[in-house]
This record gives sequence, structure tokens and C-alpha cells, in this order.
Amino acid sequence: MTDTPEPSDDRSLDHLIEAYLEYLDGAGPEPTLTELSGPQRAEAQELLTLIDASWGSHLDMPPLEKDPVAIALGFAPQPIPVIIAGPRLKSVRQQNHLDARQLTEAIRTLGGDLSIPEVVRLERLPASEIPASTAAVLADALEVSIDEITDPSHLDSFVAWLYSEEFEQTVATWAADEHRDRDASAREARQRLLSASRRSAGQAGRPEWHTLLQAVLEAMR
Amino acid sequence: MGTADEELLSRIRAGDSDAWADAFKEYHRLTRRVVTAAMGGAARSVFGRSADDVETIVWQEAMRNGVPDGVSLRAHLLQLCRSRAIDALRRGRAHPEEELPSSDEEDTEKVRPGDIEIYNGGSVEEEVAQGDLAERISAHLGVLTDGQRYAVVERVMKQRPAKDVAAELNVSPPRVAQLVTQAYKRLRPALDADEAITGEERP
Repeated sequence: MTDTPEPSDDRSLDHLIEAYLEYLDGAGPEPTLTELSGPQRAEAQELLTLIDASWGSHLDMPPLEKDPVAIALGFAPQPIPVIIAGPRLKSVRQQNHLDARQLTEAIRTLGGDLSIPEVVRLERLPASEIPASTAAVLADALEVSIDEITDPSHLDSFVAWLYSEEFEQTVATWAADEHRDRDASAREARQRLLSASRRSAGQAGRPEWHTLLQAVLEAMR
Repeated sequence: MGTADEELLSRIRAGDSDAWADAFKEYHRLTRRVVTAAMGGAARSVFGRSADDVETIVWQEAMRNGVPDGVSLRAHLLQLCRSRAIDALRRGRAHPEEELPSSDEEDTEKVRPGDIEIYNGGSVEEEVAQGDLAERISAHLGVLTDGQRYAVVERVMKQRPAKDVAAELNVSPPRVAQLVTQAYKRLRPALDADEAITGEERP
């Protein structure tokens, strides 16, 4: 570290501060200011006040996502979700000649935590949002790259639309009007639309999906 | 500091949904520092409440009730830290052996801040003032040279031995004290400028 020394024309003040730091360390007596002139004494007193406030004031702040206060207040960043296409996951698992139990064991070996019912549920749904870290462990357990199970091209057209800009914009406008959380609203709308699509076998096209979304948002009011 | 505070207040009053999250990012260090100091340390639990719990209550109360007119957000948060730390310490003094009650009712009895002494002999008022000043010093470390900043952070804020810091800076221990002196001399004008903006006075 480079630092150009500044000329110090005030050796008595330097000595006082050095002695005061030793005093704060518990390694020396408290220095007195009596040997200083009036103006020097006032300046020294101000500096000692600042040093007193700083002494031991180093603060270790946890990252926001692990900060208990930020978490309690809802200010901690949410884990970034990725979208898993259920049929694609099932296909990759079968290509690897693994059953659900073997897959969950492999996940556990890698430090992940997915149960058999959770894996089965993921495979049954057209799309699921899971934390990126979980998707990474899942991909490792399947010995494929994470893109193999999260690439949007593996989603069917209706599910892909649920993650489109059109969908996001529609929900964001509604959430702003209703003073609701945008991300939470999008998650709920997706969940409801996915249930609806299972019932109707997803036969409709884009205009109908938009109408369906409007109906779902109306029901969420 | 003044402008950022005013902008945050304007956004809060305009109902900007992200304003409190940004306020938290701006002042979380301050509230943590002050509450932790006032409660007597991060690890200390008073009547079942930790400094984290008290800081959470401070922010929840601020978000629920808003900020009164004519008060900066910073000053309001400091006042809440002071009051809620006093509440926690009073509860601890009133019920030293008891567990946290099941109800969440707050102690509404009025107290005088100067009455509450924390375990190391200081008062909540003093600790809050010290924490506030420490945070302002920390916020202005950017005005220092690399060596001055290193000396202040390592020698003063982290309380590391002079000889260790001197070895890392490749200077003598008296030179570390000299860097510290120069640093605080340089910080004074920046802190004075804060006072000119916010009207807050150094202790």
C-alpha cells in the first residue's frame, strides 16, 4: 500500500494520540492535556472524542440475504428462481436410467434436499420455479448441464408464454393498480393458469391465454 | 447525507413501494450499530430480545407509522432506536429472571432516557450518540489516503496492536499514530459539513 507521508508539524499531538491509543489498549495511563497550549488542547479534545467514538466500532455486516433483520422485514433478496420443465426433467432422468429414488439419493449425496414426492411433483408439472441452487444440484445429480433442464425451449408454448414479457407486463400493471407485490402476483397467476391449463388441456391460443389471465387476475382481487 | 435523506422521505411519503427497502439499505448499518451499542452488544439478549429483535421492531414501527413532519429519516430512526432499546432494557430490569412473555404487548410506561444505564456503565443516550458519530466517521473514510484509512480501520476500529498494523504498512508504530492523527484531522471538516447540512451537532 502506498501512502505519501504528510508533514506533521504537531509532534506533541502525535505523541498524545499514540499515548491515548495505548491507554485505550489498556497498556498505559490516560494521558493528560495539560502540556498542550489552549488551541492545541481544544483540537486534541475534539480528536479524542472522534477516536472514542471509533474505538472498536468495526461492524461486521452479514450479506443482506443472510441478515436476520433484512429477512424479518422482507428486504433480503429472494433466491433467483429458474424454471424447470417437468416433462424434460423426466426425460433426462430416464435417459440416465435412474428412478426417482436413485435420483434423490444422488441429490442428497451432493448436499441437496429433494424428496421423492418432490421430484415426482416436479416431473408432473409443465413448469416449476425452483431456486437456482436446487436446479444446479439436480443437474449435477443427472450429470447434465443446468441448461439441459432449464432451457425455455423445453417448455410448451403455453408455459413459455407464462414467462413472457407480455405476461409479466400485464401482471405488473395489475399489481401496481392493486398495490400488490408484482413477483408474488405473477407466481400466483402462473399457478392458477397452470391448473386451468391442465383442466382445458391447453388447447387455446395467445388471445385466449390473455383473456384467461385477465380472468385469473380479476379473481385474485 | 441531507439530500439522500430528503429524497427517501419524499419517496416514502409519495408511497413509492421500494422506498423503505432503499431506506433500509441506507440506514441499516446505522440502526444496527446504534441498537447493538445501546443494548450492550450483539450477543446480549435482554428479556428474550436481542439487538436484532429490537432493530427489527424499530424498522417495523417506522414503516407502520411513517416519519413525522420536520424530522429527518435519520433522526427519526435514531430516536426510535433510543426508545426501543430503552423499552427492552427496562423490561429486562423489571423481569431479570423471567422468560419472554407469550403476549406481544409493549411496555407503555414513560421513561427518561438518562435513567437507563447499560451494563458497561454508559447510558443509552451516550451509546446512541457514540454510535451515530461512529457511523458518520465510517461514512467519510473515503476522504482519507489509503494509509490513513488502513491505520484508522485496523488500529482504531478493529483495535489491533500498533506493531501489527505498523508491520503491515511497513512503517514504525509511532508512524501509525501519526497517520491516525492526520486521518482524524482530515475527517473533522467532513463531519462539520454534515452538521451544516443536517443541523446535527457532534457530541
